[in-house]
Amino acid sequence: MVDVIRIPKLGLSDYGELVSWEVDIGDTVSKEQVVAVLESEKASADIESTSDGVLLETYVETGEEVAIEVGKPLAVVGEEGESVPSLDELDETAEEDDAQSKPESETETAATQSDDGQSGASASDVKATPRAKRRAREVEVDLAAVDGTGPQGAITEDDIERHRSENGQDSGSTTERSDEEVKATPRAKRRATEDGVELANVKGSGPEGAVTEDDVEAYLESAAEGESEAEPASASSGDLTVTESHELSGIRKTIADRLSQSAREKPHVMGTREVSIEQLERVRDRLRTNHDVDVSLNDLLLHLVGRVLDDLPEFNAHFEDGTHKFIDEINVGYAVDGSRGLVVPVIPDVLERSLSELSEMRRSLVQRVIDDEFEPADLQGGTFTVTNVGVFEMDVSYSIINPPEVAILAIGRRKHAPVERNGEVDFEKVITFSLTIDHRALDGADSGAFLDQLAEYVEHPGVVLDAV
Amino acid sequence: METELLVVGGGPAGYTAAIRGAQRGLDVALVEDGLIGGTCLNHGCIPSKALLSGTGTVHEMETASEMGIYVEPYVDLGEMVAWKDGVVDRLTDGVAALCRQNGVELVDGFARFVDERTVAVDDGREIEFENAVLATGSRPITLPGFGFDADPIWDSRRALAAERAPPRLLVVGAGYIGMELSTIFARLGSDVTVVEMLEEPLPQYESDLTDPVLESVAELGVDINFGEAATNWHEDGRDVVVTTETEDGEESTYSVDEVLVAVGREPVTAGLNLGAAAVETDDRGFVETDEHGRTTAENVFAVGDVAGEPMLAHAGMHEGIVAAETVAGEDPPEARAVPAVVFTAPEIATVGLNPDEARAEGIDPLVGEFPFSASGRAMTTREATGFVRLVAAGDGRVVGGQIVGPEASELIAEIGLAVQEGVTLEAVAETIHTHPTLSEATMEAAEHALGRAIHTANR
Ligand SMILES: Cc1cc2nc3c(=O)[nH]c(=O)nc-3n(C[C@H](O)[C@H](O)[C@H](O)COP(=O)(O)OP(=O)(O)OC[C@H]3O[C@@H](n4cnc5c(N)ncnc54)[C@H](O)[C@@H]3O)c2cc1C
Repeated sequence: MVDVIRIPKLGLSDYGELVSWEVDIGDTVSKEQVVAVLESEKASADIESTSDGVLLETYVETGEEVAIEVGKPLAVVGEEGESVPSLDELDETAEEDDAQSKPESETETAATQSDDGQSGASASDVKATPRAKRRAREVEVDLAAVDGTGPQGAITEDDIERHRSENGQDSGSTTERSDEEVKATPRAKRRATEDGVELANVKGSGPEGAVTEDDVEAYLESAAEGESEAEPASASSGDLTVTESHELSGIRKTIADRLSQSAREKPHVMGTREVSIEQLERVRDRLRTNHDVDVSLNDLLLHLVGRVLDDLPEFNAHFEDGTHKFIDEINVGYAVDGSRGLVVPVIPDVLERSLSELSEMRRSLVQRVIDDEFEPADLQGGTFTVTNVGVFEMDVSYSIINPPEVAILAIGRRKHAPVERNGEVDFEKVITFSLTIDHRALDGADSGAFLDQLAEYVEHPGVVLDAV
Repeated sequence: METELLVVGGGPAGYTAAIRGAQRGLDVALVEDGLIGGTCLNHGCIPSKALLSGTGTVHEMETASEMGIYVEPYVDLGEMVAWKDGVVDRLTDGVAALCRQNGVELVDGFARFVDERTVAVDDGREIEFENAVLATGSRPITLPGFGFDADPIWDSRRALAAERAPPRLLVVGAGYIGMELSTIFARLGSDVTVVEMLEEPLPQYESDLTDPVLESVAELGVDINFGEAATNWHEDGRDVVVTTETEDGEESTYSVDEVLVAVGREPVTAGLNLGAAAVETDDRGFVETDEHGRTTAENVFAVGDVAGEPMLAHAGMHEGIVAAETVAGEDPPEARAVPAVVFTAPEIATVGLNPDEARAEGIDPLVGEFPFSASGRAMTTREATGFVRLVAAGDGRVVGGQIVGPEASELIAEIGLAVQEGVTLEAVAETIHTHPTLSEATMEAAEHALGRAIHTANR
């Protein structure tokens, strides 16, 4: 059996450097012989061998900075030729050991519920506010797994709630930031007044989502960067006569925030294609007269988009945390110009609905948006968005992707255009489709494929729609 | 070297005796082996109160949302401890300066009796004295098997210097030190469990005084298990596993990161060679003294913790003054009552007799109480728990008082004065107290005892 030399309880600070290995791999060592020296800012400590044998492997190099966590493996001692566990294997056995070493007594109660088991980092090494520590214990969250946003990078209670909701744990106590009143600390308010910052524009990271002085500072810094990059000659409306001004709030502000974030973060690329809709209109008419199915062109287009998404799953996807995630459900968002601005209700599982069902659903969603009676749930779960800019008499639109989706399709207005068929030029009814893609996840070729497939279905609807 | 008064030990009892001796014209030398200020300044009263107020601020911030203030403090305990050390340093420097200003000769070293008139200091010097005051203090008691030299076993001194709050702390002992330190660490977010051999905390106090404290530590998440004695411990991986046993032999185990043993204090007499000075100790090792602090040796006095209960800094200081004045041939002041305080939240403070003790002394006590829940000031500080109780003899003279609640440690002083000077309930009741203050509660308690309280129902 090999024996792992681990970092013992040292009382050193969080990080240190492995200053030297006192023995080389292959050397014989005896128990309690000093094998390495660790040094933190304040002090150094000798690491002793835990048994007699040969130093088989070291996991940390001389000069390497290491997190000084109790139990962290440094080296392995054993008999010559014995096989050495990898760091991953050690991590696993450490977890098992932990599980086994828990005493099985009734009164161990709260005393064993601490959270430093999994990661190897002792929980006392993780910076967290007292409130966060208590909360972590209560909901059994491993502090070492949570990112801290508090003072000194400490984990706050909010961080724990965020971590839980990100991990699908019910959080219950996260507080939604209300936009009517901006929450800010007294210091932040003073600072904002001093520096003429509109608090509503600053994102709060404090308790209850309050804007802190740090937030104001960060905002000022980013504003300064922005200005120096591209400050137009007349950047401000200072000398002009403002007749009306509306501070963005509510849904408008959410749209603004999300879309500007999308535009900022996603490299948008647009492609367009003009497609004849003569056939599709005929199909719509036949459905109405022969089958008594009252569908609009929009409904048919939504269905066909669903088909394309089924064929090309890379479009039915999210892009988050550097990951392109293909999604099974095809839930198509349909942008509507509601009374409070652009709203994108979602039609879930587009392909699982009959055309009339789809049509009914779209109409009722649109109505709800217009009547301002939609629910937040109506807007959730979209995997792709379609926006009809034809209603504004536009042919094409460079639409911004609804994050975290990876593409958006704009449907232009119907118009007559010259179409060449077999050497003859004729006027046909066409629509220009503009597809904007997130270039991180998709390429121009994908764009081409999407529009090609869509054109195929729109121009030859019989391929996919039976009984018409 | 020769001196009229030799003081051994520079804690509150010792330095007070030295300074008062010098003020009374004696030629005084003070031998201190460690840090001037003793336990109190360096590892006891002051550091613990510093951390209680530091963590009290944390607690106030965390509960401030009741008042519409939202903050979530992060505590760098290392920095808080450094701040505390700064406070301690300023105080110890101050005490050393006071000693010098009063002409006390400070001798650095460990003193050992050679005979009834001589001590040897470990640097080889000998000091001949006419009178000596022993003020060598006390140190924490270890439990069998729980030596403080083991890494995870803390004494109070170690706990007060901790730079990190352990995720899980087991406190052995629910006396005042255990309760104060549990409060500190619970406020820092540690998961604190207390085991106490007896069936109640703070055994010298009545349960109506300790109940509010129990409630408040429970709110902090401290779990107290009574009737359990810690018997042994071992390390199991990263856990320290402590075994406890009830009187019926039932065992439990606790897995924690650190263990604080706070089960009492014992006198420091080892190495003093008391026999050479003919100074005798009782069966617990405390030096035996009369009311002036005189030991079994005519010219040797003992004050402070080394002379036994009450082991409190202010008691030691008073004893130091009494001993010094006795040596100087004066008539020393008599203490009629020694206040005692537990600095938990709420605080408990007592002085003199409680109703039962009064009865035991043949007094048919007049008792008055005023609850802080009826105090406007208490409500504005969000600490409206507890009460003030006054106990008076039949002739109306105040003989004692008990307080549990906000600022009890400060409020007890007025009752202390009343007991010391034999002030009557009438006098307390008729004294105009500022409104709105917590101290009004004392006045109201006096009126209640007299059956004419304004702000609480009379019996
Ligand atoms: C955690 C804690 C909190 C406390 N809180 C409070 C409180 O809030 N209020 C309160 O009233 N009391 C409190 N106390 C108790 C208080 O600290 C003691 O009652 C007080 O310090 C006793 O004073 P002393 O002078 O008798 O002894 P000490 O303060 O113990 O001083 C004795 C001194 O003698 C020195 N010495 C010992 N032997 C020799 C020798 N042979 N030669 C030379 N020097 C020697 C020691 O180094 C030491 O400095 C607390 C104690 C602790 C541990």
